[in-house]
Amino acid sequence: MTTTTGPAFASAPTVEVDDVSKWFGQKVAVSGISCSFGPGLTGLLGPNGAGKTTLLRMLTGLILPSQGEVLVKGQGPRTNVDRYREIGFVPEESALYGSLTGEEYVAYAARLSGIANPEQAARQAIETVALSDAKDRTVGGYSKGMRQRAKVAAALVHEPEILVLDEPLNGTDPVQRAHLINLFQELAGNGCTVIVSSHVLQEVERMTERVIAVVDGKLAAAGDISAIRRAMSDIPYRVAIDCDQPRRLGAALLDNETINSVSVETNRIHVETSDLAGLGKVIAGLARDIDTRLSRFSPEDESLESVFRYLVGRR
Amino acid sequence: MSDQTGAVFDLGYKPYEGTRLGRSGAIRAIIKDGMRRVMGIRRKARRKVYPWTLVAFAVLPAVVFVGLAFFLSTFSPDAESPFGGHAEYMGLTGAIVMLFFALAAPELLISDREEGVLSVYSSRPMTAWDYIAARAGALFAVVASFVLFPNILMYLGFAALDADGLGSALVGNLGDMGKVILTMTAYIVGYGAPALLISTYAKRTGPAAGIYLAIMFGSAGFAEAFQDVNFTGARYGTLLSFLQHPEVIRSWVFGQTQTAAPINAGFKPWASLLVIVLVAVLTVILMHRRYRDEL
Repeated sequence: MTTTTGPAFASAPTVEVDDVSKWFGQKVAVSGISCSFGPGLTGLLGPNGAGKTTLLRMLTGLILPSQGEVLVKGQGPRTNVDRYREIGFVPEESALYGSLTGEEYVAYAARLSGIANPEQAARQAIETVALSDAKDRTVGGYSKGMRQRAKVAAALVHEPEILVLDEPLNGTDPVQRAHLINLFQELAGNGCTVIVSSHVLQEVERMTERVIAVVDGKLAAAGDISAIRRAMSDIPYRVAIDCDQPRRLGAALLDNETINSVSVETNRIHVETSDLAGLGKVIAGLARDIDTRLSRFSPEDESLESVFRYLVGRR
Repeated sequence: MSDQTGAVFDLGYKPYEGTRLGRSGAIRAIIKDGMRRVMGIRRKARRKVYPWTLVAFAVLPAVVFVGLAFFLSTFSPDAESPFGGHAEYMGLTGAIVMLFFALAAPELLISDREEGVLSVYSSRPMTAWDYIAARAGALFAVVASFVLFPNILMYLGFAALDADGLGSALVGNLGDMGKVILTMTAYIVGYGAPALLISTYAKRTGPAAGIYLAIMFGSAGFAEAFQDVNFTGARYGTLLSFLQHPEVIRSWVFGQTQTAAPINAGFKPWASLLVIVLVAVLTVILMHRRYRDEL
């Protein structure tokens, strides 16, 4: 590997991606990505068509990179198929046999993974994803959310050390989603490397702080969401300040060089600044000087959605 | 009234701690799944009609023959069977084998691609070779079962009626079973390989079955035409008769008169054997090329 330090790299990596590119004919799906994943939960973000699925399929060895190398615990999964004992993969596509019951399907997955007692393992995995009530129904009759959970159960049934999930929460209802998110967090907390791709930012935000963002097939950002936001020094911060005299406070703020703009509402002002820390230091003194009372000071664009919008907007 | 009680159960991850098997376990699982799939087991009734009808056509005549032979033997204990032996029966089952492959091979291979389940296999500890071997193995196991079963029934039934006694007839006719196995292998490989090859590249099961049957019957017609054409090298066209090569092997093994186009064009039976082997090798190579990037 070339460089293995920085926010894109895990301290104890189980999956390493070294300058990986993938092109399909003339189309470049992934371009020169280097990063790594270790125990814990990492969100893989990107708009539709960004290259997330291609990257995940390379991580799991389902497709080979056109250039670069992917190593799972130090070995290429395609050159050593035993690595698949340590990988669980939930693909985005259906990947289900509609004529099998949920339990049969998961037990089949267990057999493919060489589990000696597949029925017992299947029952445990199905219970883990809270699908026991429907385990005897054919998968063809499952709702989208149940199908997703069946796929997760099939990916978990052989107790993988690395779990790769491509849009696993698609089609799940809020209760199922909360349950699966808890499950992924629990697995990550137990030392499993969990990589979850999603384009639904609120889901990722609920799951993890560590994200890897891919835009147009390139690594757009990596690390903690707030750290990524702080690293975008060319984009001013937006801050909402609630107070009892917003017009006076707004006027006072405009005298400060780091303030780019101020907009006023009834009891709130929205401030755009290139120096969030500086604003934090001066705001209390300014409020005291003009005898106004502050009730709230909160950055408006440190959310994952804002960060992501900026990342996509930079291309 | 008892005190109200409550409990919160842990739904968290409960890891599997048992033994792990090798790749052979996965291959066995795929073979079993494939056998169930081609026979329509646990599937809608209309999926069962075609395979089970063919199996009935393959098995029931033998049951009837043996039953009638027992019945007739009560009138004339020394009478020969009027229904022919294994060679004739293999001729009947050969056609059934081809019709079975026409739908079963696409059902196995194309459905996996249509349903997007290849990732189920590609993310498990197995290779493209394992998948190909297991899928082909499932197909061949089912065909071997319904080819062998009626022949074993006839072997045992006719031996029981043999004037020399069951034991000596079983030993004396054992060579027939060897011939049955050789002929069956020729049918399975000769008819199965083209079916698998077409199913590897076709996108839909129906068209794949149609293409297979058109090639099998078309190639026989093509070969018949070429055996009558009188120009240099025309006889080599008869080697494209994919339908007739297993028949040539059957007649060769059982020592019967050869009537197939390649033989009429002057080729020896081993030429048919060579074509069967070449098509099989080509099929394996092309199947692996097709699946190695996805599995």
